[in-house]
Amino acid sequence: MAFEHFPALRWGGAGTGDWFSRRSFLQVGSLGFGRWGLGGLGLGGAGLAELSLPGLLRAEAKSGRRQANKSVIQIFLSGGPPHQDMVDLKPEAPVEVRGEFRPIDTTVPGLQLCELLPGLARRAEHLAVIRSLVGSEGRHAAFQCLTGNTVARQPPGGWPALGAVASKLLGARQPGVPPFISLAPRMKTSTWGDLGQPGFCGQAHAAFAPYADAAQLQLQGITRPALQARQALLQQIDGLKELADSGVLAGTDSYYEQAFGILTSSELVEALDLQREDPRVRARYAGGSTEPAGYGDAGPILNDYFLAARRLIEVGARVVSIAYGRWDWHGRPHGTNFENARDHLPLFDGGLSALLDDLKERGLDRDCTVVVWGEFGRTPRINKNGGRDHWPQVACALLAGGGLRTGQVIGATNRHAEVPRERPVHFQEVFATLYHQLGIDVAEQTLDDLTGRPQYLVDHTHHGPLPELI
Amino acid sequence: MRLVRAHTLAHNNAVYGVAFAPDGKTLATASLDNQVKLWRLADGTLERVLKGHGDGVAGVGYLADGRLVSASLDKSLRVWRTDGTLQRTLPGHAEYLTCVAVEPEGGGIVSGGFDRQIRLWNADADAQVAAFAGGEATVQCVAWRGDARVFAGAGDDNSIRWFDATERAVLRTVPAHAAAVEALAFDRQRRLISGGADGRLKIWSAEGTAVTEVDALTARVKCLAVHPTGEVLAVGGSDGVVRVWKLGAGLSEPIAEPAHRNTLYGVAFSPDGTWLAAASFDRSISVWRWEMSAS
Repeated sequence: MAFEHFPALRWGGAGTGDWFSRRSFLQVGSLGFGRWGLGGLGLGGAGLAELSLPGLLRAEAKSGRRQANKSVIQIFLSGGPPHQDMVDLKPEAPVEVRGEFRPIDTTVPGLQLCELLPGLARRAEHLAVIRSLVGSEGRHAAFQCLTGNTVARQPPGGWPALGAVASKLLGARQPGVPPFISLAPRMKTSTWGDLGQPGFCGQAHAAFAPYADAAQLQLQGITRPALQARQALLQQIDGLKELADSGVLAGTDSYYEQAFGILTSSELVEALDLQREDPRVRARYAGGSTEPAGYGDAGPILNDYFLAARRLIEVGARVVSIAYGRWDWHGRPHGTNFENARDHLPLFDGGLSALLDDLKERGLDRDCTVVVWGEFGRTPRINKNGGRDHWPQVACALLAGGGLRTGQVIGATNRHAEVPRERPVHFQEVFATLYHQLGIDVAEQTLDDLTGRPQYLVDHTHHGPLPELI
Repeated sequence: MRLVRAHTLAHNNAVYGVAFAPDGKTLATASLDNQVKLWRLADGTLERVLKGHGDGVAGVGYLADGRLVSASLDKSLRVWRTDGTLQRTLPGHAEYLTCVAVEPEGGGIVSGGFDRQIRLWNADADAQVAAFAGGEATVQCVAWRGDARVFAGAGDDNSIRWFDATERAVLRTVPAHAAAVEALAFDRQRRLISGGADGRLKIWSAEGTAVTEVDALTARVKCLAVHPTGEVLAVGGSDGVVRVWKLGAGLSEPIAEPAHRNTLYGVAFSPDGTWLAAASFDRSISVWRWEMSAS
């Protein structure tokens, strides 16, 4: 990945003549990085997108707040993964239902996974497998996996993504690192490339999205073509550093100086540069392509995303979301469900296994919760084109890390994986769990929507954190 | 007989088709990444990328004069000059195209797809020559016979249809397999060989009678190619294994090359019979030297 693969940070703008004028700094601060850091300071809300980064830093300093070290990695499998071909195989079902794959044993007695997931099978004690996920809106969108709520019937301002809520309520874990980062690239199917809307938390809490054209960091004086070469980018950053070190900044507001420091030397930039990773570690995450996967309308299936997420969590991001591959497998002529599974599942197995190992080896697994899911499940019956169609009735999810009680299966489906047979788990229960992991009590915490009406983050009267896991 | 691996080539998405140029120097590959790639056979170097299709490319075939024909899920065929420039686009199919075959000696093109139609084209005309009902379901495969203006088509209705391109007539329709017919190829004896999603290989006489049937050793046959000498048949299927069968009165025990991690969508022998290529859903193409004498 790194800069040579992704058009990551767009540093655009006019000439360099007024680089270090006060006006330039205000511009720097008001774009890209300006959209975070208001959390818990009473400064959030829609319409604050233009508040400058120096202003945010000043306000955060005044709060004197220090936040807990909890974090979440959200992995969205764009399109709806086939639950019955991954974690809930039905080998006794008729051939038109059971599919082509065999289940294999795992390190957890009684838990079987697809034969294409041997890495996860060996790490099953670090996974919680939900086989009975319900409540899908049935919409081809990341929205529900990012917000926990449905697109329909949103409150004024819209439901905020988990990361936006974390930004607003908890703020940054580390200065210079946005609390909410989305690694989703721009996609033809824009609802899969959803960065996670800030909703009624306000634009100040929108995701920092280095790989999405629409939400990129901009700096004065560095042109987009320069970004095409990582070397050129780094050279220009080095040039900025030299200017900063020359004393040009002396006498300016210290917060501007700090903001400038973030933009030129932050751990964020380094975290996004995967070239800096130990090659042995990076090799574990090998696999995938930078090209859009499948039909070409989704993002790439690329394990560098997992590594980037770990690096961002490590330097202080609070919520990192990923859109991974294309899982909407209706069948020919775009390959059968099973051909696409043979393409995606081994990569997914390697990438998620590497992430779980990496988090554990770095001691991040106690604080960082990982959730993996898509917007719905897939039809039990294989269609005439060898595909499986949309099936909102039941889906699956994987959870790991965060000190959760893993090594277990929650819920079960009936004999054809059509509906939950026991312990249906609602999307909002998973979100209540994720909020719990971040230290947010969904039974108590409200945020005002744009009309000032307090809104609970999930319907806490029906859905709370999963007791099986916490 | 044996295969000696020469090159492994790649696309950014599943590879659906392969075809060798008449001069034997170039290999064309078609991919779900919307591109056709032209490779120099001698060293596996990528020579050219043909862009322009708005969706995946389902198949490719070379005309005798060296022009290339591509068929796309964007519902169109394209005819490319030997210098790689686009000569013409042939719209007409109402749904995804799945297959294409070119007349071995001449300008005929036949295509099939999700609109259940088999359409006959001439590479030098902008409009289709004829359209035929291809069956009760999606057409999955078409093939030209080498010695006459006869072609065949088959698909999801499990039947095979023979057509006369000159008379623009259906010659016969035969229920053929217990599942979709996914691959067709004529041999030098005017026999038609079919492979199906039932995992069977069948050989049909010129009159449409089944003369041989064997277990293909793969769950689903997806592609076939007859060697120019007519002595062997290459078969690819859902297990990613290339199998080369001796083709005599029947089909005898094949040699097997487990080359790919996913379904094979295309196999082809070079016109001089010295190369074999296989295209896979795993985004790669294998190219081997084919040595018949080793037997």
